[in-house]
Formats: sequence, structure tokens, C-alpha cells
Amino acid sequence: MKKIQKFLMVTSPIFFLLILVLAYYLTGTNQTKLSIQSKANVLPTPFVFFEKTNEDNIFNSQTANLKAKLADLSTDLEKINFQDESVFPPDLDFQFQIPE
Amino acid sequence: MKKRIFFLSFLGFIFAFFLSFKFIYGQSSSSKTDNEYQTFLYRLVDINQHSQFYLSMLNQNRDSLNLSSNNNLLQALKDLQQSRALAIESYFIYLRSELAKTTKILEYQDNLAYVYLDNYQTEARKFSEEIYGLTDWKEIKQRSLRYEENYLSGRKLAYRAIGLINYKKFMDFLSFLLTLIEEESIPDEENLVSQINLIKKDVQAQQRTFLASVDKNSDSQGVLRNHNQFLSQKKEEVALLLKKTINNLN
Repeated sequence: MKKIQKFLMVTSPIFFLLILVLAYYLTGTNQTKLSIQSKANVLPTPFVFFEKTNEDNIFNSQTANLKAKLADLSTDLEKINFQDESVFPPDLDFQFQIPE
Repeated sequence: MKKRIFFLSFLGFIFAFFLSFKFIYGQSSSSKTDNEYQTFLYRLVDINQHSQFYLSMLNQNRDSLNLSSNNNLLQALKDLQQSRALAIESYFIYLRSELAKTTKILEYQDNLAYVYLDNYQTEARKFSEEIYGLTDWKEIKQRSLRYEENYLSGRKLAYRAIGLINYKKFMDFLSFLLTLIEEESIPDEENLVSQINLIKKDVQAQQRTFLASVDKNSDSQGVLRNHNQFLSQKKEEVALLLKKTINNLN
């Protein structure tokens, strides 16, 4: 029992790291970077304690947040193409001419 | 202390394991339909090659054409017909899986469309297998004609399915937009909610007209084109509304 416990104690952190590395590569590094970037755009701006009050800053960051969300939605909408005729069924004529 | 480290790392291990599984599964399921569509496109290329081969065989044998003994020509024709049927099979598989994503909102009649697509796919597979066993020109022609008729009704259903998929995409988007407006309490200076609801009603009415006419009309493709054009117009209206709202937030 102790041997198993010792074995698990040594191997589980290694497995943990291995699986993390595996998950990182399988999900695609570029995608991860992109999602981090897009999140960064949505993050609230840090508070500035000079001219504006805290409430102004909170309001501004909320508006910026909202604008970013609506802009994302606009981009999503642009991507929807209803007139894509490449997905129409193929016009394959099965009737053929038997050579005379 | 050691026990705590062991326990935490064990928990982390299990969490990472499930997380990686989720990502791997998510990726494979999203690329599945793309692969089916790719298979369909590859098969269309295949048909083109087979058609050229069939035509060149015809040209070569034009002078000494003897149908009963010309095995090469017969084989070329069978290959061509089989490629066509296989392309259609993969097309129906692709369309069926796209439609399957929309089943949450579909009513009984549209679930039936899903079943029919399944039947047309099976029929295409059956034809592609049968054609190889035939040895007579007349038999091949008769079987091909029967399949052509079957495919023509399948094509009408395909137009209907594409219309449904587009409708679902747009309605999903509008519902998501309305939820966002509600959650984020966006200032409604442009009467955004009521305008979107109006657009939603228009699209629903158009969808009913589309479903009633697409199967019955002889020009199903034209009906779908009109439907898609209508959706595009409504899409532009929503885009304009979104633009105005973003500008108002400035």
C-alpha cells in the first residue's frame, strides 16, 4: 500500500505537467494566443486617480466592454453568408447517351 | 505536507485529464462536418476525371464501336456513374449532419426531412454498389434513369434543408443579440429590441412561406435563392442597427 502511495506521489505531478503540455499543444498554440488577445481587448481599463472619479472610470470601462461585445457580434454577423451557393446540391445528370 | 502536495497534484491531474479530453473531443467533432464536405468536393473532382476518361474512350472507339463487346467503355461508364452516386452520398451526409445541429428548434415535419435525407443517402450508396454488378448497357441505363428520378426529389429536399439551416443560423443570432441587450441593459435609443423583434417576426413569416412552397414549386432552387436574398436583406438591417447602437455608445 505504501509503495503504491509513494509511486503515485512521485508520478502524479509529472503526469499533471505532461497532460497540461499535451492539452496546450493539442488545442493549438495560435488559437490560445488569439483568445488571450481578444480577451485582452475586453478587459476593463485600469483606474486612473487624476481627473476623473472612480464612477466615471467604471462607467467608461462598462461602455467599452459593451462596445467590444457589439463589435464582436457585428463581425460574427458579417461572417454568416446566406447566399453561398457552393452548398447547393450538385447538378449531376445521370442520364447518359448510349453511343449509337 | 507531503500528503497535501500529493492530494493537490492528484486533483490537478484529474482536472487536466478531463480538460484535455474536452478539448480533443471538441476539436474532432467540429472538424467532422468539414471533412464530410471535403470528401464531397474531392469526389466532384473525381467525377470530372471520370467524365473525361469516358469521353476519351468514346472518341477512341467511335469507329469500331461494338456495344456488346466493348468492355473498357462499359467499365468507364460504370466508374463514372459510381463516382456520381458516391459524391451525392457524401453530399447528403454533409447536409444531414448540418441539419442535425438544428434539431433543437425543428418541428416534426423538419425532423422528417432529416429522415428523408438519410434515405436519399442510403439510396445513393445502394445505386453505387448495384451499378458495378450490372453487365448490360440497357440495364445500366434503366437503373440510372430510376436513380436520376430519385435524386431529383432528393435535390428538392436538399434545398429545403439549406433554407432551414440558414433560418436557424439567423434566428440563433437574433436570440443571442436580444439576450445580450437584456443582460447588459444597453440604452435603447434606436428602439433596438422592438426593431429586432419585428425583424424576427418577418423572418418567421418568410420561413413559413418558404417551407410551404419549396417542395411544391418546380423551381426549388429559385425559391431558395429568394429566401436567401430575403435573409441577407434582414441581415443588413440588423448590421445597420448594430452600427447605430455602437455609434450611440460613443
